[in-house]
Amino acid sequence: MNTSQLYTVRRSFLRCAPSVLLCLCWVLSVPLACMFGPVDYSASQVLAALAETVGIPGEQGALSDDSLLLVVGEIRFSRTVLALFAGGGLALAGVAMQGALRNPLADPFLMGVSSGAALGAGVVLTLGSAGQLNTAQGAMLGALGALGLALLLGRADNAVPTGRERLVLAGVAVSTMFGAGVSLLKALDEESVSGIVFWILGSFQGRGWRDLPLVLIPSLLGIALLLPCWRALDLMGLGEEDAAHLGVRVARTRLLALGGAGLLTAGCVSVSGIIGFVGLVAPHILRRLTGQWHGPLMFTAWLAGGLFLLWADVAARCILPGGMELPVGVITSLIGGPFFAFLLSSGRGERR
Amino acid sequence: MKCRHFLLSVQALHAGYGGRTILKDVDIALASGEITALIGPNGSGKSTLLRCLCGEMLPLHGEILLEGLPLSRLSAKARARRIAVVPQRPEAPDIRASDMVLMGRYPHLPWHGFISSQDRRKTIAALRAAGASPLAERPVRTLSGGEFQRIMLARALAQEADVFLLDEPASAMDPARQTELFTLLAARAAEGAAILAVLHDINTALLYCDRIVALRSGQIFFSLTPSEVDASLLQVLFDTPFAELRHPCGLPQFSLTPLSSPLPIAEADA
Repeated sequence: MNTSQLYTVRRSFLRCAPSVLLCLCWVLSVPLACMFGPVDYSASQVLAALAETVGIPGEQGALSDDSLLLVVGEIRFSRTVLALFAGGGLALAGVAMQGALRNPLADPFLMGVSSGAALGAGVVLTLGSAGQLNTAQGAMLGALGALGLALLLGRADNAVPTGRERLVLAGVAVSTMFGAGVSLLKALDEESVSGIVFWILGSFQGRGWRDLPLVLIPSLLGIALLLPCWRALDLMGLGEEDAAHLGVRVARTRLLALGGAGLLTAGCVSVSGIIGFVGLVAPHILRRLTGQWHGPLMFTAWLAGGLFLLWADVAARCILPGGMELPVGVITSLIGGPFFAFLLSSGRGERR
Repeated sequence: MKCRHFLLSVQALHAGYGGRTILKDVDIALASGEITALIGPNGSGKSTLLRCLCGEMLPLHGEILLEGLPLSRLSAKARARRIAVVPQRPEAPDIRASDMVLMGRYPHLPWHGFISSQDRRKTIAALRAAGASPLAERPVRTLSGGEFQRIMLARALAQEADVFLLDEPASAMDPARQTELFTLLAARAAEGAAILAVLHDINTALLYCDRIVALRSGQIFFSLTPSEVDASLLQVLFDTPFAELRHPCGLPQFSLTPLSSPLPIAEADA
């Protein structure tokens, strides 16, 4: 069996390569992404500002003015971190959704999280400053409400032990209901329409460090739910019945995966609005690079999703002249759609 | 007569879906060291019985006992460490054959889910035992029916269970592979395993199994040793005439009658 063992070693090295590479890119991207923006700063200025923000004492005098610290340390750095977490969360949620529902078209918004968040944000926007909540907090409440409702409606009962379709349909039903709520808000209050529409397009504009807990806490909770079922998700690919033969608790695994994915998505959506494509397509691309196993897949998807959203956000704030910003959701879909189409048309035959 | 040690047993089993009862009052016990064949016409409840025995389907009445302990009290992983199932029509996922076999190690993995070198060794051993080593690096989707069945058998071996429930494990295998399969199963039985195989080929069942259990309309029709089976029983069971032949080894074999010259089988027995 020497050849087989050799094969395993070579393959595991190849499997590691994307993870290592992505880790490297991830670390390098943090300072690099802070260089770009409507205002030009030199690399040394940006690095000094970053060091100051993180708390590493630099040389006195490197920071020529306060605006540098504000722009790089407060705005760009915080957006970088938010984008990395939000994109990673969306991609990870996509992996979990597709694995648990065994549906390549499943995306993080399948369980109605996005419509819930839109409704929550819309209510806050419509009420204006009268409420106690800001948009992000409203979106978070709406997203969690929608997720809970979908899981409740779609939970398996004894008659249907494998309620995969049921969960998907419950998600669709919740999506539709909350979507109708958003439309109602738009119809009732014309002033808030542009606010809601812009929020739905997805953007990191105006987000800062204060929003970090909103994405971080649900993300960590979601990851904590997803991690225990990474190996079980591999077996779910065999089909529910066969996975159960091998000792997988199918209903529990699916609930954990969907709950975790929902929490991750809620965190991302509440700070950035609805960003399409990342959660749907990043898992497909990573599956080609790292294979079917959910361990490496989840890890690389988290890194790659974050990287993608980060650079999409950099593009969003740099493309238009004069400090105008594009919604980042538009960028992700503009790049992602054609790229996905290309992958579909090129790679079908060469799958091993 | 040796003392039989029953690994998996159930008494007065009733099972069904959505108000329809499929199995009625079924008693079955799988003894350590024995290969039991489960035969019966289409829709007689063979697969349903298998699904109940492996814990996939909850019976309406009756409790499956694994060495006297209710199966429902075992955790899913503990159950899979004792009972290996080879389903009739497993889905073919987009993975390699050796990974499919490796998944048989899942019930033995610790909580963190990482695969140890011991798991890999046992996977390789299971592949070799099932004669499936040459298939190891092939994608499951490119395997033929019989090759896939050998991989599923290897997976069951990798599970290291002592109860095997096989749903038509040899239906797509050529004669040489069938013989290999039953040689392998006999070796497992000799090590103390209890094996139940749903079989459509009665003659294979008679040659290689220690006990023949027949299901008819959801009830046990007979439970006999191969030498006790006769043509009249099979005729009633399958509702078609059989001609009784005899294998040189002395075991009975049965043949269907040709369409052109129907034999007067029914009066051959009394």
